[in-house]
Amino acid sequence: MRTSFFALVLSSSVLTACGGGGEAPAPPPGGGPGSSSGTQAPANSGSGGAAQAAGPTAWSDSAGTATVSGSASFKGEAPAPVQIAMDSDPKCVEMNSDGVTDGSVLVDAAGGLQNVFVYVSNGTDAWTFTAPEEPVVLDQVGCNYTPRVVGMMTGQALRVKNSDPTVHNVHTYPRKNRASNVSQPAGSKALDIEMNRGEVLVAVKCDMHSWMQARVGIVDHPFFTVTAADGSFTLPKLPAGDYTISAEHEVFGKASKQTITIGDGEAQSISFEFSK
Amino acid sequence: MRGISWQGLAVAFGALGLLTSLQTSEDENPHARAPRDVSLVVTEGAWLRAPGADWFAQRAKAEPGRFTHDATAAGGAGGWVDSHGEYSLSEIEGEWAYWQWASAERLTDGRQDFVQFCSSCHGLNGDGYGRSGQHLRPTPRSFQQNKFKFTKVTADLPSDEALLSVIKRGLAGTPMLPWDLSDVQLLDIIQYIKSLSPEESGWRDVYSQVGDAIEVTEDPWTDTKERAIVRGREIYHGAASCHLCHPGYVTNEELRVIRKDPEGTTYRENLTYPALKDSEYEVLGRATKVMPPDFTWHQMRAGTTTADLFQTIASGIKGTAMPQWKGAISDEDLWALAHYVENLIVSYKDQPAARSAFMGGLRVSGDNK
Repeated sequence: MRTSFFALVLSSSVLTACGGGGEAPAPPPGGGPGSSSGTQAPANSGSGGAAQAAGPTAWSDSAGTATVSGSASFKGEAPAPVQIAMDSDPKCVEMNSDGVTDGSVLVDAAGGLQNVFVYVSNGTDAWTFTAPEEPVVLDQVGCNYTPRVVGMMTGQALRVKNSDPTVHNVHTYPRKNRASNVSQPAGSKALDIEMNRGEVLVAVKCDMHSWMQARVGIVDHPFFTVTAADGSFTLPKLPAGDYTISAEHEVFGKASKQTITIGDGEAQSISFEFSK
Repeated sequence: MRGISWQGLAVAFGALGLLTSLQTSEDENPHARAPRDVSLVVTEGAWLRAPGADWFAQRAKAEPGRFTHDATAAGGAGGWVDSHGEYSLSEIEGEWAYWQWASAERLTDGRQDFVQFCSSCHGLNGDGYGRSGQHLRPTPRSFQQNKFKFTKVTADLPSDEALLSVIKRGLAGTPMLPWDLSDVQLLDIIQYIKSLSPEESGWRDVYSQVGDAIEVTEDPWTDTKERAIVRGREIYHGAASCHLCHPGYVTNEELRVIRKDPEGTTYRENLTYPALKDSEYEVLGRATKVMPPDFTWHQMRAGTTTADLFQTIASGIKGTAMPQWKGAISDEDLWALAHYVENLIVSYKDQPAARSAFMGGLRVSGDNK
């Protein structure tokens, strides 16, 4: 139902574009969108959608048997952790009585870089993917975000919780998605934030506690992950194919992309290197 | 409108001085910059993102017969149909959205007034760098960043009604004057401003949203204003913690009592001053900061009545650190906050002696700098 209507809307917009010659498209008749031809797509829309409607097939989790794993590392001397001054809110100080350092750069003794968002940036066009029903959870604990970096699929909700005995405001900084900034006093119920367009990485900040930062990577497929404390990552269940794999860190930005060709059941290893 | 002559327009406007100077300065001035587009005619209409279903439901009551609800629209989700054909519901990339058609004629009318009344500060293309605006502070807003502060809606893009009210009232304490133009003129200007959104952003982006209006609900404290102020003071320094960004208007000792913190707890330095905060809005490509107002000192931009303050607090100030509070705390507490802030303004703003006694008293008391 949705698909066929979408096709009709597209075709009507194409006709309008061809016949319009720069003049105003005829206003939609009163018959209503239910009669399909009644709706006009905005003039700048729709291109690209038509090709996708015919091509891709629905993705099934069992289709992929290949695995890409590897690690992200930081080259050079890692910046020393900076102590965070939480003095503005004694509730935050109380929860971090031993002090707390800025978690934006976490490098282990072997150079492994934590919290790098790793994702397939090209090669998944042959499938359409359905976002999981359950939201991705970002919690606020001890006046910091846990986890600091999360990935989610387009159409999935970002559920932000406040487990702290103090107020936060959840301020997102997307470039392609809808921006939002909503306050969340202690004891509030979770906020569900929608970001339906692929975007890596979206910053989430709290203006009341200016040190609080998180990042969200949003892609339209399930092939993404975040590196562990030792910088390692695994992207399982990939189907055979040619892929571009990208990695981005909140401070060091993007690493050089890696292109791979992988067959069914194969395992390949790649690495990403970051520097200042 | 097409093909109308410069001279004809100038006569029509009765504003020969402004228009002829626009026309001739580029030709005659040896120091002229690259020619700019000062054409008053817009040749193409534009589809602009319209408000959501709630707005149509409201309008349907105001204009019986114009909007009808069609349960089969939007792939079965239901949608509103406009008999005038000005509004349309479309699906793009799987997203259903209402769009408004701004015709070339309407945008031309809007542009003519925009050039005459707005462009000297906001720039001919709405980038915020008009010649007269270059030394104004705050800088005239760019209409190309989609950051509009006083939106009166839940999401980031303001409704036409919100923009109309900002232009008609002006922004107090800034060079933005109240404009006494007709609603028809202003709404045409507003359509033109919306059409200045860069492609695939702002009003020309399917993922952006014109938010649902945040209504001014009924004030539950009209007969108990004194209690509202007491409650507002508690919320301000307690649950909402406004003093993390705005000044605290209590001593540290009082703050400890309100927040039930143990003896000896300390708070941010300069508690009785605002804390400068990040803004999303850029000037000349650089990030800017915003100063959360001290209600006993700064001019409030969007009104100082209890209802104005309720609306500003409830909506938040888009693109700044001020979040939306609607839904985060109850309407009753929002109204209490509005009463408390209004009381601070009424008691101390522009009253140097009273203010200096009040704030000075807080600033010399013990550890409260």
